[in-house]
Amino acid sequence: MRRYLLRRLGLMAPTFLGITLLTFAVAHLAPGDPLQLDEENLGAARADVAKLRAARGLDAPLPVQYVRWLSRVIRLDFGRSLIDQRPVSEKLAEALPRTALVSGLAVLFAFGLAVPLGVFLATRRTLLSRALSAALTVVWGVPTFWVAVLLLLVFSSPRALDVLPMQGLGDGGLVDLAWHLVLPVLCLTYPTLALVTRQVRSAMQDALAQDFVKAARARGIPERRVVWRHALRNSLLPVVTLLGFSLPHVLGGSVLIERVFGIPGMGLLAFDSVGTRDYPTVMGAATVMAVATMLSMLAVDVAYGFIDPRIRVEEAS
Amino acid sequence: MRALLAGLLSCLFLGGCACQKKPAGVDSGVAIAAPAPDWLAGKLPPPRADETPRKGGAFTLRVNIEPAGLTRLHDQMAEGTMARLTVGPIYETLGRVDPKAPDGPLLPLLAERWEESDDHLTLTVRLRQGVRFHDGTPLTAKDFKAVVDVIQDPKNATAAMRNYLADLSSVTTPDELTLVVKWKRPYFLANRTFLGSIFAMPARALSGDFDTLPIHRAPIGTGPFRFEKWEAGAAMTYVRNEGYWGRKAWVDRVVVRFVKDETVAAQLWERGEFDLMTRIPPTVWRAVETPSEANRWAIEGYQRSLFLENTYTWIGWNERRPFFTDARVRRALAMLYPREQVAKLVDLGLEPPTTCPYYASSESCDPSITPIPNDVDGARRLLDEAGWQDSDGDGVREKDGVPLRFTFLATTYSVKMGKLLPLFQEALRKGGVAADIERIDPGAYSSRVRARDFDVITMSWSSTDAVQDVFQIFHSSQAQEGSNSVGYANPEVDALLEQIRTEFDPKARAALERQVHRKLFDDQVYLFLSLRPQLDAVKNRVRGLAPSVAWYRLQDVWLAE
Amino acid sequence: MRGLRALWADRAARPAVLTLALLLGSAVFADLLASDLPLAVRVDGQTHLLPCLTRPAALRGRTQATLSPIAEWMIGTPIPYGPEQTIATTGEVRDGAPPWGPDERHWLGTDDVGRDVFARLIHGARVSLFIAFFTVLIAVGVGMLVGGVSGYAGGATDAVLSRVLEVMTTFPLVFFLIALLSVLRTQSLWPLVLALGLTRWTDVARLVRAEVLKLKTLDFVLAARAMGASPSRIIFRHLLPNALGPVLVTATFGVAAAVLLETGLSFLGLGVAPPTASWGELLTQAHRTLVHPGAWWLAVFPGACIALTVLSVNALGEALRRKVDGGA
Repeated sequence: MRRYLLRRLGLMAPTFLGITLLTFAVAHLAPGDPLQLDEENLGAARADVAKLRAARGLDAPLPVQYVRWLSRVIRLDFGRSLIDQRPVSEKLAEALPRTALVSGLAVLFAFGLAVPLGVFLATRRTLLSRALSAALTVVWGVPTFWVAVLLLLVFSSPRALDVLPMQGLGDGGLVDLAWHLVLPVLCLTYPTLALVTRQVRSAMQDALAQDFVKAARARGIPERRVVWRHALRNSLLPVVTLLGFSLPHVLGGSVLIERVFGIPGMGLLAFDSVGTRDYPTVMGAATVMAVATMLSMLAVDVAYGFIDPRIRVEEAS
Repeated sequence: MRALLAGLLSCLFLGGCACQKKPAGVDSGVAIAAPAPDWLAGKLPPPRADETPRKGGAFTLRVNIEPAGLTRLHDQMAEGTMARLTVGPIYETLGRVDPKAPDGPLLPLLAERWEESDDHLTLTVRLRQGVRFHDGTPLTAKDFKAVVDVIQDPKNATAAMRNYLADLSSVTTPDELTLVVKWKRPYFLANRTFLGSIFAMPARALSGDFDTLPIHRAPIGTGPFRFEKWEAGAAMTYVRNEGYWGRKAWVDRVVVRFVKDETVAAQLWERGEFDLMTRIPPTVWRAVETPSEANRWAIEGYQRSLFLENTYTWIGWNERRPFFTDARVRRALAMLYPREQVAKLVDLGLEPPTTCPYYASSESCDPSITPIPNDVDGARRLLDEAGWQDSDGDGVREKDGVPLRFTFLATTYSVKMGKLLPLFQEALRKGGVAADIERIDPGAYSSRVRARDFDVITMSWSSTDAVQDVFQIFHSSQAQEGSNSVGYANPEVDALLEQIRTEFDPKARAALERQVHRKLFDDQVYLFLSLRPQLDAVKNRVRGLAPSVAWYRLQDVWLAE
Repeated sequence: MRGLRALWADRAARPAVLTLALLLGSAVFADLLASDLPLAVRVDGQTHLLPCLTRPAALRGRTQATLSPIAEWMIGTPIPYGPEQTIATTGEVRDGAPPWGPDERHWLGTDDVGRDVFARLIHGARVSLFIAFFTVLIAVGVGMLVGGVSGYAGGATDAVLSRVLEVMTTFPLVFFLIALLSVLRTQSLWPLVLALGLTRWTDVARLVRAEVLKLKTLDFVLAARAMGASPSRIIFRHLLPNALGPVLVTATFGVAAAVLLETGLSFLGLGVAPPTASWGELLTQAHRTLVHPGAWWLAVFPGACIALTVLSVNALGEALRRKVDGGA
């Protein structure tokens, strides 16, 4: 197990290089740089911009800039934002907890609800379960930002219910925070919930039709136990995979939701930084994303092993 | 799980009470009356004689942008609008624009008086005595010198401000309260710019690495309000400066809330969360006018404020392109512009047309010039005359094998251009002109403009002063790298612009500027569109607000009971 | 064809197939359904057939509204407006500024420059479905290639390609789009399609790799290899066709995801170039106009179109999955 983990951690290095290199290349592909934005209004002072650019290291060839960035990041120095000169790590430290809170809760709710719901839909064939299935499919088909706007209209507009706050995460109080979280978390929850529930349902239906379940039933094991222990354990693999893919978004955030609800999280930070060509911040955000993804993929693989011992044996051999 | 649910439910209840705030002064029992003429016109009511200002309260305003830093020196703060919205009440300059006569002389602010030498090369400023920074230290001439030194240091990201001081020869401080500014050459705007744009910041706070100065995040000025806190992405708070040298502000604190999204901002406004709602989109401005129950909150709870800033929008033809070299073509395109439709359907009758590069209501504009009216037949004739004819019958005119087809460049986020350009595009088609629209993100946009890599650009010029110099915009020397991005070159205009720079008599200068206006119109350098109004709304309880070119003076604001 | 009939036999999928056929039909025949020029007209002594497609020079600058009083006869399109026809050419004069609500002239209302929402929805279907279809096509192509090679070759190739896969899974799409769209300046939809396609192939690749890993130990593959078939032949002739079923299912769901993605990108200002109509563009306008002046029609109709499409495509995907699983 330890050797496997070490090997996997070793494999992360090329992935990390790949992600950051690609981000770096793509970010620089777009024309414009942060110092150019107002250059044409500078008149006589224009010549100084070249000096400033040199001082910021922006005049070096791109490969050199990348290597410089990399060597700093290895020492956990993300550099300073080119827009407001604050340390990128500070900006990330501000944005990350907000996004982690909103998206983390959403993932928690989505997966926490999806498993029982999926099992319910797979085992019961009632009008309610059908209606629920249909409803989940319908909501999945509606764009999140759109739902967000509609929810705001219904719950926050002074013309309708006017019970929930519209913007931000409140100013400190726990109740206030919970209050501000309702709509954004809801918006981020429902698509994942719909997706995962569908996955659990179909996996459960498959599992329940299989021989080992029938055998378990034949052995007289109570139906409850058959469903929740035998069948569910077999249906969890795809769920764990989905969870693995969802985790990076916990840290990456959703630009759309953060924009509509005015939450200054990672998604907005990355998006705005791309817009202003604030390369250090873009790279910082990408690094966080990259590390988060790789760790969650590792976590998924390890989790596979716990759910299905065969996989671990295979990898170790 | 159950406990969590109970918690959520109780939140629902608590929040339901806490958020049910309606604007004060709204009485829902009575039928809604049609808005008063002043309300419709956006004229704030005059001060009432029976009221005396009172202290206290918090004044909340909505701003649609968040600055990157709070130092006025920084390049990122070069945009005047952003600066005055965010740090306006914190920093002060030596002189200020007279709100009643914005194109007249400056009024003293931190300066007691100033004198200009006869050769216009020396400015001697006497500072006001007893002014203290928010940190308690007294303001001296040395502080101004320190600010200038920081701006002039080429290592610093202050190039935007440095540009104003390009002709600066020296700044000396013969004594604590005297500042002597010397210029290399005479320039009519030099002293005004110095007095009006160099901000008092404590010298102590400016030593060290410019990029990491704490003052960027926590400004220290001399203004009527003092910085308290900045919650990134949400709001900024100032508190009253109790040690202010002049009349102290009335309100205890000013809360600047950053709300970018227009829809959300409008709803927060409707909820009564802002005392001053700024930058109302024209559609919303018009939508709340109808006397209906749904608009009661606006009509009875707010006063509207419409003020024409010194800002105009324009469409610029890149004269390096074969189809825009001929002024007749540019004139024909202006004739195809559906002016009435745009005024009615896009600007909703709120943006007066303009043709002038100067402050619209000043002497610098020639009042006899009116916009070219929409005239499709005239445009066709003019294009024929200029040699652009549709000889191959594909509906697009061409000359020497070059089709009259070009691309409008606009930024993704401009709502006005998003509506205007499709209208213009169709109108052009009627004249045999094909146009595409390309919308790109602002970063790429400025990069393209800088590289002169465009056919047509859509932009606006904005100034916080009514006295301005358009040398940078229209002089041929600025075509390569300056703001003359359309590449306009007219020797007569060049000569006029050069003459204006050293003309110190306002009357004589205005006469020259009127000539510039005339020539620019004849040449149709830009298709001048309209003046941009500042569309705001003020809660009924707010008193003492008056808009001007220099925005509002928040120190005059007070809140009625 | 046989596949279609089989799908039709699946009762549960029937409404979805019908809806999609309708959407596809309107996308394909958009120019016949909503256009500024009529289906056929006789004017000035000349007969024009399908001028809405041929756009003859003689009718330049004319619209159905200006033609109908002077034409000898005219067969109009069901919706007599083109998708990009603003008030500049419809010449409508009304009291207020657009957006105007649904009425007898504009059944689904107009947008904020007076363009007919119905016309824009029909032509928007073309754009949205075009983007979705080609995005998925590119994604499937790249995904099958990478997944197939990775799974079959194993070893170092697999390790490298797996890293690439990981990189692409993580890579934030927004960066890629901003960069690509500002470099490839064009009015066409291809940069958008390319950017989407090139970032969305990872699901397919992962799936194909797993399928190939499973398949390559099967007898028929081993037999082909024993007979000396080249790796490319084995991959393309034996492995990929057998993995096609699950890929088709994933691809179908991918179409739904791409439709949703397009709306999100439009909202961020990264969508199609104006004045092209797309569903996302309409929804974005709705966000601006829903409260003031209350243009619900801009919100409801495109929203319904998107939901309906995604729903049908998903239902189709489910049906396909049943077929594939049942057939395996």
